[in-house]
Amino acid sequence: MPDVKRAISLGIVLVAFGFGLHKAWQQPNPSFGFKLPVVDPPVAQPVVAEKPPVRKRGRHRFRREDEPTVVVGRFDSHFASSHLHVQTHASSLIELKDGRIRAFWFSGSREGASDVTINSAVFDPARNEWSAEQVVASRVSTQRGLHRYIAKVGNPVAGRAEDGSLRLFYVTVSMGGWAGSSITMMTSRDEGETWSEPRRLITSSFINISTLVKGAPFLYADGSMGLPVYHEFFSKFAELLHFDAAGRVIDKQRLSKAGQGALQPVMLVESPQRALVLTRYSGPDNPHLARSIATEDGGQHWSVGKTSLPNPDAALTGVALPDGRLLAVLNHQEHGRDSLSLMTSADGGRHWKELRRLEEMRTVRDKKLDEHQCLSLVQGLLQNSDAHLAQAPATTLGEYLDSAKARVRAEGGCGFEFSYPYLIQARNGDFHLTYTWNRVFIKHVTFDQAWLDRHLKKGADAN
Amino acid sequence: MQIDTDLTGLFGITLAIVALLVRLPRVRNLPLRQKAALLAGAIIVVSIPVGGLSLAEFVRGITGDLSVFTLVLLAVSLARSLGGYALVGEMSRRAVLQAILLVAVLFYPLVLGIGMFDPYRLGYGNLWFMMALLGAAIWASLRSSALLALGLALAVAAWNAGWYESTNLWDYLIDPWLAIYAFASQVKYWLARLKVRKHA
Repeated sequence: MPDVKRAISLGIVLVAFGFGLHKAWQQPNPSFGFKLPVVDPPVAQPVVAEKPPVRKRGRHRFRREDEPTVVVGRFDSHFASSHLHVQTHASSLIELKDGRIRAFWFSGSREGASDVTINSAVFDPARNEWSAEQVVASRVSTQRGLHRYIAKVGNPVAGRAEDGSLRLFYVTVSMGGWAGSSITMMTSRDEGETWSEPRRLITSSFINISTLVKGAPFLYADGSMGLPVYHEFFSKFAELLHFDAAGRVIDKQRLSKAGQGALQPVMLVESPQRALVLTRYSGPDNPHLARSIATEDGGQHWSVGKTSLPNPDAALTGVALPDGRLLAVLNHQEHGRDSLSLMTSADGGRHWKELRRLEEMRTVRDKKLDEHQCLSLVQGLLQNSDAHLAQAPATTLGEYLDSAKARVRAEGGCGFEFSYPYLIQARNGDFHLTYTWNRVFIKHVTFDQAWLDRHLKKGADAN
Repeated sequence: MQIDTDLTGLFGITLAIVALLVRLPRVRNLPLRQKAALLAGAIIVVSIPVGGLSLAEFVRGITGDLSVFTLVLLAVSLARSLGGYALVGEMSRRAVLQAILLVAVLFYPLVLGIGMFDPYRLGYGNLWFMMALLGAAIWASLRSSALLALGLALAVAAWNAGWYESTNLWDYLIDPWLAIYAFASQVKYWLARLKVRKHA
């Protein structure tokens, strides 16, 4: 009798494993090597030309008449979000097929609240304005679609799959803080106008918790999608998820060379074989620098990179330019998030140079500004950030100011935060950057190749 | 055929709730008919959405989907509670729990970041991992550990069929709740043995 039982048991094992091994054998191995984003700027880009700025000689200002006109390029900013009296955070961008730019962020009464929703709006470069924002997903809609309890949502990022559809990834938490996050995915076949039912990605063996997303997805050479993610529960490290064409997870790679404390990885793809991953660092080491790792074989192996970017454990972003240079945007400081800088590197991320200080409020950090002084400052920042606000009626500006006041004056002083930047380069060569502006608005900055070239040249001349 | 992974996930949670319910002393002592009626009622109650969410969906949000090994052990427990007979011997059950505890002790610290090797990656159809599991399943069959062999076979079959959302075989083999149960069960076993030695 025991022999019969043994035989039956063995038979079941052999049949089950036969099918299992067949499936494993049939599964294509995850491919490596990267697909480069297509950047195809028009031959003659419209650029703004102007006289060079006046020079000072002693007390006199002058401009030589024969001085050539310089191309300054285009640099512009707006607010992408339009809801007032809410907290907004963690924006991301994707270019649509018609050249418009769609942004996503989360918005609600406060970060982690149950009323937080994933919102989206579209920027039309031809009209130079943002559409009204719409809700793409909420805690309730996600809960309904996933058939499980969801307590909060956050951090949306979008990528374009090889088949042309958009995939939106965002984090959801059922229990505890952000370290208990899982990733949920939705798909759109109409450029983000409508979305499929959400789908839960299973990426961790421990109740599927602690996989978070912040960095932009990228494509491998075979068209499959990669997604930089990170883990926060028990220990902190960066990872890469690899999807098949149907959006199923087929591999997960721990970016162990980045070490413990490496969070929110962003991938800067330089060539089909070379890429640099930058991460924020959430560990005890000083000085507080961003971390980097690099690959020379399409992502199969990674080695420790050397980077000298001061960063206060805050999200950063970057892109690789077609000429091999790198751009990054981050809080270029060891403490606080009250400045934001556009940086460039010409040596693969080893050394970085500041191209432009996009925001700078460290100067008021220790000044004890009263409410009136602080709000005057905020009003100036609001008007400088969006030309529409500069011309808006006083009541509209007052509403924006009131919204901003709730955060800037939250601790009684005059505190600023510019964080969670997200940078992309559009197919026409223009750059689009969004970031959290004092947790009340999502600010959008756009500049073109001519503006960048001028600043790169200025930086080179300074050397 | 595409399996509805929400249905399979909720099935597992409902099975767990029912299996735990039937172990309650008051329920355990009911006649079989009443027990069956109570369980049928419980299945309906946990499946009905209240405010857009059923109890099973709420629990699923907290626990995640349960591994196939957990489902097998729950089914064995339910059969014993309802029918009063053991489908598998205590030795076989203990062997499974000890194997799970051993794997959990090695596996979870690594996947949670002690060191930088991630064994979870092996679950995405790694052939060597599958071969090692096949070896363990054959060994278990030959050693008459039918429950261990059957659990491994069912886990691989479920992974092959796409029973859950997960594409990773580990999620079919083990879950933290099973690991905690295996640990508690082992501690209980050790304490019982200590007690016996003390009285001897």
